[in-house]
Formats: sequence, structure tokens, C-alpha cells
Amino acid sequence: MNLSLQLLSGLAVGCIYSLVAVGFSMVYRAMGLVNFAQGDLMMVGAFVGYSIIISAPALPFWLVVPFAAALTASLGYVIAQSALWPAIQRGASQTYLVLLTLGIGIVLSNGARLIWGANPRVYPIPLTHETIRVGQYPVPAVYPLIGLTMVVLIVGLHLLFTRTWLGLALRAAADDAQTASIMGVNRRFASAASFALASGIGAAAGVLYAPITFVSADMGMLGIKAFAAAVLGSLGSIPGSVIGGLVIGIGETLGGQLVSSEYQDSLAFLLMIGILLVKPTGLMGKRG
Amino acid sequence: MLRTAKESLSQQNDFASATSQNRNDWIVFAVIVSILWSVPLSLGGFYLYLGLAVAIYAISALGLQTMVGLAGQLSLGHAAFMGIGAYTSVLLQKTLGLPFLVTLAAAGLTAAAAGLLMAQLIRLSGVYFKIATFGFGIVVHQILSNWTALTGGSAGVRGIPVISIIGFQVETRTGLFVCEALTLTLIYGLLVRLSHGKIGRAFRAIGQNEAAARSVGIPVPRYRMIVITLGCAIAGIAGAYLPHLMRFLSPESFTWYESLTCLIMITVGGLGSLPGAIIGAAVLIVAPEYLRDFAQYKMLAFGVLLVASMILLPKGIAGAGAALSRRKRIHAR
Repeated sequence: MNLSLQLLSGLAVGCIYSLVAVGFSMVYRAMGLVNFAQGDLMMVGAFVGYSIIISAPALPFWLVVPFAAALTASLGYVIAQSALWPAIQRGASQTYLVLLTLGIGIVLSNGARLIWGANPRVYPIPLTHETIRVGQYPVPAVYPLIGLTMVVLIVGLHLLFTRTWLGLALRAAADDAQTASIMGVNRRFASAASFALASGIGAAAGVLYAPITFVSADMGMLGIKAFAAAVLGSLGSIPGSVIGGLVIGIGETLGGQLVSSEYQDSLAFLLMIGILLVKPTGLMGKRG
Repeated sequence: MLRTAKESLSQQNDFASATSQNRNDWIVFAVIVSILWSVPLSLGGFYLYLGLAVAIYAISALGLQTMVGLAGQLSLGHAAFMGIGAYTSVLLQKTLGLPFLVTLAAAGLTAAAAGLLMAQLIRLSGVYFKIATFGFGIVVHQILSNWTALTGGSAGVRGIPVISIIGFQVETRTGLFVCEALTLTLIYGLLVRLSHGKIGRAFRAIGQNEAAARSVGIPVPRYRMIVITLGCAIAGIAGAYLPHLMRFLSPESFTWYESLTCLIMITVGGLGSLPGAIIGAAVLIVAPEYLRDFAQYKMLAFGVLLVASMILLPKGIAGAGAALSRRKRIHAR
């Protein structure tokens, strides 16, 4: 296999990790909790995309992404409002919050197994099998779409956070909830909106990832590696998450090629632990 | 108004009666241990099998409870340490023919060493450490499934040797249960003792507020390392029994889901309560056996159970029981 081809596939998977990692980071900053259900929300997004494709085969693929994202975002909004907010308001401990999101993740992945069945699904669209030529090598046709969506989403997020009132409110609530609520920001809404936004981004990643692989209820496990990515690039920083995702994606693809592909998941975590030992707050972290 | 008065009364009660708390814990200990020794052995058959499984996971959950519930060190890779214990014990028995008591100790020590290795990561504070424990679990599971020369890979290990203790061959389930129940009683007793001593108080202080614990002179990093090593060692000892129950050993018994199940056990039973860990283990082992027809809903039910118990019973079954008995006592006054 050609090295540059490997690099390209690592980059594509890295973009998926990045998007899920951005979701982790946003939720961490806005609600102060580590959302172990993020990967499962991505999985739900991929399944929602599958259902959209089945029920409306005429819909172009690039339109499936926002629809699935919107539906998953509303699910995320409901979860944040009903299950997470009471716990946060009570000032529950970090251990409690982690367990709560773990529980939500289990419910989501097993709920999806009941709804969509235990067998892995493949998106029934031509994009799944199509390839384009890069140089003389065939590359899955969805790669450019993944790259493009990621750039659009990240630029969109940047604009949202810097140019709109909503973004300003979300950032304010994340940095200092007390002061922000004095200034008229509804804390409950701000955290739920951040969670919903993160779920939507995760869902977009899930729909884009589906054509490279298949959709299954265990897909959420990928979220765990995205987690390593978010941590590696310092939790809470969006550029950090993007870089972390790309580092993990490329690192595990190349590492899997050099060492052995069975240890791919381990490589992602060893990479994370190694970088954290050198720089305890992650790549983009501030000192202290 | 009445309610707050009652609560403050019960709080005063708590402050005034550290010794009575001590006595209560030993009463609960006596009740649980007598149930442990009487019920599975007298019912026999399938119940004995259930008792064997419950005892193994109860030991493991006690270790996790000490780490998570008492000292607040969340571990997301607990099953990995059970796996390290299980493989250490079985491989030593098979290849070197060592007696079970030696391999049991070796299982505990190896898991403790791995735990100590993981504990080195406490430099990564807070959230980072939690994720590192998760990564540790994944790495161990992948090594167990892929290091075929040592562990037999995902095909697993067959032909688990019979336990022999000082010349006695433990061939029946009854014999195995006696071994497990002895181990559980011993570990539970030691942990109750420990939780009332200086070390246990330090663990609790760290679990409640690390900064405050440091300010009163508790060497927090050292105690965190001790509690992580201790919890992992206990998991290793529990793991050493698992292959003898299943008559088979495979890495699939030590996945992320198993770690999660251990966490659900201590949460449902009640975070911070030692008897809660045992009750939680019993509930999560026994209930699925009676709901076999709904096996595909098992994890879903576990998840719902976890979320529901977190929202409705933040202190778990043990906490609800304690609150109930306290309320009765106040009414009786």
C-alpha cells in the first residue's frame, strides 16, 4: 500500500474524530461534564441518516447530513434538558456526571439496536462504492465531502462563536455562568443549546463516516477514540480538538501499518497518554 | 420546616455517633455474611451457580467501591484488572503447576502492579486521569486478545486446572463456593475495618474534597496511589476465580462493557457503601438470569437502571435502606 494513500485515509478518519472531538470539547466547556454519550449520539445520527435515505431515496446525500444533524440535535436538546440539567443544577460530582452520561450512552446504543436491529447496515447509495482517482490511486468518493464538511462546520462554528449574539451568550455562559446569568443569559438554555449543537455535529460526522464503513449500534465506540483526540488537543479547545483528531487519525493509520493493525485502538490511547505525560494539559493547553 | 429539623437532627446524630456507625457497619456485615454463607449452599443447584458468580463480582465491586465510592478515583477499566488476575492465575497453574493459593496471591500482586503502573498517571489530574483509565482498559483487552503466544488470543484458554489447596482438590461447586465465600468475607471484613481507620478516613476525605484533604495534611497523591493499587489488587483476586466458574477463559469476559457493569453495580447498590457494592453485584447478576427471555434488552435495562438510579436514588439501594432505617429511628423517639 502506498504511504500517501494511507495518509489520506488517516486524514479522512481523522476529520471524523475531529468533529466528534469538537462535540466533546463544546459540552465540556459549556456544562463542565465529560459526555461519554457523544459517540453514541454520533451513532444515532448515522442511523437517522440511514432512515432518511430509506424513506426519501431521491434526496441528495449532502442534504441528508443537515437533516440528520437537526433531528439528532433535537434529541440532544431533550437529553440535556431532562436528564443532565437537574444533575448539574444539583452540583453533582464529576463521578456522578460521568456515570450518568455513560448510562445515557448505553440506553442510546441499545435503544438503537432495538429500533434498527442488531445487524450492521450499509447506506444504499452509490456513494458507498464510488471512488475517485487521486494520482493513479482510487480513493473513496466521500473523502472530499468529509474534508469539505469539516471545514464548513469549523468555519461555521467559528463565525457562530465570534459573530453572533447566541455564540457570545454560549461562550459567556461557559466561561462564567454566574455572571452570564446576571447579564440575562439563560444558563439552562445555553447548556442545552451547546449540547444540542455538539450532538448535531456528531451526527453529521456519523452520516459522513457511514459510507466508508457500515452503521451499527456499536459504532459509538469510535467516539471513545474521538475522546482521546479531544483530550490530546486539550479538552475545551476547538482548534485543539481538530488537531487532536487529525493526529489520532493519521497516527493510528500509520502506526497500524508499522506495528500491527490489531493494536490500532491501543495506539490511539498510548499516543494520548504519551502526549499527556509530556504536556499534561494537551497540545493546545495553557500552562498550569 | 419539620423536615429540615429532622434532617439536622439526623445529622447531629451522625456526628455524635461515629462509634454507632461503626457498630452499624459490623451489624450489616454480619447480616450479609450470614446470608452469603447460608442461602446459596442450602438451596444448591442453580442457586449455587448464581452464588458463585455473585461472589466473584461482589469481590470485584468491593474493590471498585473502595476506589470510586470511597476515595473518588473513578476507574473506567476495572474489568481489565480482573482479566490480568484471571490470566495470571490460570497461566501459572497451567504452565508451572503452582498451587492455587500461590497463583491467587500472584493474581492479586500482578493486578496490583498493573494498578500501580496506572496510578502513575494520577499526575494527569481530574478528567484526564479518568480517560487514561479507560485507555488502560482498552490496551489490556487488546493485549489479552492479540498476544496469542501467551494468552491464546481471542480463542481463549481451555482446560482450566482444578483448584488444589494444601493437598485438597476442590472439584465440586460447593468447594469452590466455600473458597470464594471465604475470600469475600475476608476482603469485606478487612475493608470495613479499613474504612473506619485512619486510612479509610483519609480515603473518604479525598473522595469528598481533594483540596480540603490536602489542607489538613493528608498526603493526597500517596493515598490516591494506595487506593488505586488496592482496588486493582482486589479486582485481580476476584478475576482469579472467574475461569474456575466458567471452566473457560477468554478476553471477552474483560471488555469495556464488563467494566461498565461493575460501575453500574456499585452505583445501583449505592456509591460509597461497601454493602451496597455486594447488593449491586447480586442484583446485576441475578436479575438477568431470571429475565433470560428478554436477554436482548439486558444492556438497555442496565442503562435505564443506571440513569434511573442516578436520578431517583443518588445513594443507591444501600442509601435508601439507611435513610429508611434512620427515619424509623427518629419516629420511634
